Amino acid sequence: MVLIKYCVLAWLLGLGPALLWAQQVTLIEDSSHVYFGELIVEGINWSEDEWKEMAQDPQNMGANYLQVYVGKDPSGHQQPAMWGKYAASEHAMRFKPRFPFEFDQDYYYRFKHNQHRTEGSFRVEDRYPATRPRLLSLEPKIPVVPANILRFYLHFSTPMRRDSPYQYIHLIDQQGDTVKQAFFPAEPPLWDRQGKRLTLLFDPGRIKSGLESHEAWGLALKTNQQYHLVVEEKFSSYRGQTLSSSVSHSFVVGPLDIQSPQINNWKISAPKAHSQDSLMITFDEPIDRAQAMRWIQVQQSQDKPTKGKVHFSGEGNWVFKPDLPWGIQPYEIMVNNQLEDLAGNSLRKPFEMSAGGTDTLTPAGWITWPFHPVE
Amino acid sequence: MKPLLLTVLSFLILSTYANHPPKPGFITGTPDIQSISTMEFGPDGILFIGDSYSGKIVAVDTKDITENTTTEGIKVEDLHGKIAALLGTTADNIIIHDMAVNPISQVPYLAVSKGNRRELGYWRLPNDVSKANLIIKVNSGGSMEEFSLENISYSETTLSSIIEMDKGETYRKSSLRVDAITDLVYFQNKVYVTGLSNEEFASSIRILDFPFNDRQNASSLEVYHAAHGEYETQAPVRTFVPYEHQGASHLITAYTCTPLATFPLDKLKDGGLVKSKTVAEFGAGNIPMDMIVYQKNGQDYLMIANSTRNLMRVKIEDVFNMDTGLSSEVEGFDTAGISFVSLPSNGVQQISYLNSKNILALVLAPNGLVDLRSLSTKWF
Repeated sequence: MVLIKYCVLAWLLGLGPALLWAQQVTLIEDSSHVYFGELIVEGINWSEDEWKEMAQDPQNMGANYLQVYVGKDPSGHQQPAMWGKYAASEHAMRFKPRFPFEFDQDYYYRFKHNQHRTEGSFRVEDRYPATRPRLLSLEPKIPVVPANILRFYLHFSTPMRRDSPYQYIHLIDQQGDTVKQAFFPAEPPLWDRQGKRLTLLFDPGRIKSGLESHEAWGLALKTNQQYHLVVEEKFSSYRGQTLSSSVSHSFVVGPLDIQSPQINNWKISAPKAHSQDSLMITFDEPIDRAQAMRWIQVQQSQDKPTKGKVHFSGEGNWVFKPDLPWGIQPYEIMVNNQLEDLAGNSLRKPFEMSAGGTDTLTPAGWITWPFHPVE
Repeated sequence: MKPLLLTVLSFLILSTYANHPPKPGFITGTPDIQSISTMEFGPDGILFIGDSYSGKIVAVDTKDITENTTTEGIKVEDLHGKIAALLGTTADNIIIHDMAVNPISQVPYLAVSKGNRRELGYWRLPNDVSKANLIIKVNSGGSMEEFSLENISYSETTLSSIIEMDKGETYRKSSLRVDAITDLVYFQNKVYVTGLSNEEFASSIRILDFPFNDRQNASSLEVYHAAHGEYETQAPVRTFVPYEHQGASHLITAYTCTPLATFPLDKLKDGGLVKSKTVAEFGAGNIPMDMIVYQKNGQDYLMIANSTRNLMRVKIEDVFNMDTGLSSEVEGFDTAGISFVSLPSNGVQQISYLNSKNILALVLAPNGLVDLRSLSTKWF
């Protein structure tokens, strides 16, 4: 976890016991952190009453202690503090702005609690070079996809302009015609928090049988046909720079996939104990990789996660490289049963299962799969 | 935008009985709104949102029903700058798409997006540049708060035969779909919606019952565009108001470039084509942005906000006194038909009836900033 400290020590005005408490204000810039993009004040000594109030109504109480403004120094302007969500924990509070903090924009915070005051400015450095954005990958990048595929993911090199991406993305059939209304125009568009990954959702209404648009329009994709997913050159980064050329990805459509993946048919290659060899899972069918990144985890026991890096092999296998060498004790692979294949069939239930049938299902949760590093 | 003067009184009376009962046909949840293309208040604090992208009209129960009888105005200077401060950005990244004032509470609601304001142009409207997805309420002291669209009480209906996504581009270089819903008004238990349909004569008006049911009436509209010297059925109404005249209900409609036309509501037949009477040509090179009815010295007037021309005032009586509509071309940015007064405000793109003494307007001030200002009906 990388924490960028903007103001390491509080500006202490109080005396006596108050000196024991120093506030630290941090902006979380690590995109994998659960509080990515939030401003955190730590080292707050809430009184019992204050803590009670904060726990009950963090939104209104929080704004009394911490305000964030646009600009380097708000003192010369009569401008209101930014909107955001406040949250509190025992010795800390957080501020999540209504919209993400912008690159290369100055902000100013003021925190005041009893005699403690701390204030200062910060900015989110734009770490992306001012070059044209590139479409790094388009997933799933397999030659044949199921006719009822639910999602494509577009990964860009740079945060992209977030609004109205769909106008630049077209699905073209083998006659060269545009497939109309293939994708669900989610609003706001389905960007990840950094604005680098766009989820392109096929209109679920057209996929699920019985729904109005399925009956009226049918599936967007026809089996045994070839399609091109075209991303127009005009698609631009948040800086307004466009792609250097349009990108076309071709694929063939196979039959429908209406079966859930079967975890019993997955295979693991266990690593050697005392090594940093990778742990690998081979699936019985292609899995949604974005979900697999967060819904497959490794742990030694409950609350003792094993840290490491995940990637996918060329064949689509899940590969986990631990940060530290494996021990000899047993480990557990935790798999969330909501993990889906490309057509939205989860380990828990096939996509087509109607809501009425869900009573008899296993509740959403984690499946534990023990393994032993090889001696 | 333009709550009808006639209905304001009945809202006020209704509001005294209102006590947050769940409204029939309303559900609690988060409506799937893709773009707030236009919005307008109805009775009981209900805000109608027209969403061109999803092709839906969403009626939102704002529960904002505390009666306010003040005749004072509202003023907020540098509205974009203030909103930008709240949203953590700069004023050039804020676009205000529409404004509607709740006739009960007199609270203005703004449809806002974080979009690039520098992309607005002579022929580029807010909805061409970005999709509004945020509603901001302006409180009496000028402070603002978000009106969240999450977990609200709402009811919605989908328009039939709405213009398809890939049908083509407007002269403003945006998808025709942007104009699927251009304006809407609640009038006599119905919601009137203008915009583009998928029909041969694309300019349409739809009539929906409210509370919503499955019934929808849709007619195509034909209007004589004097500045082009042509009868047209493709360009949508940009803004309109209903008006009662001699016991009959009419719609007064304004189109781009810039005819003002009217027709009686009883001419509307489902699936039919209505020819309206062009009573004025207010001059080419302009988009009428907003229109309201208000009273001044006991007389009813129209006020029209424009993209490039000045704020205009028209005596409504003149609209109905004109027997024969225009039918010959008007050239060179000239005007014709009934007369209008050019009011001393340019760059006014949104207006709303606030109270008997004030019209609320987004005004481009000489310093280049946009203020929310109240135009006194004594002068305007």
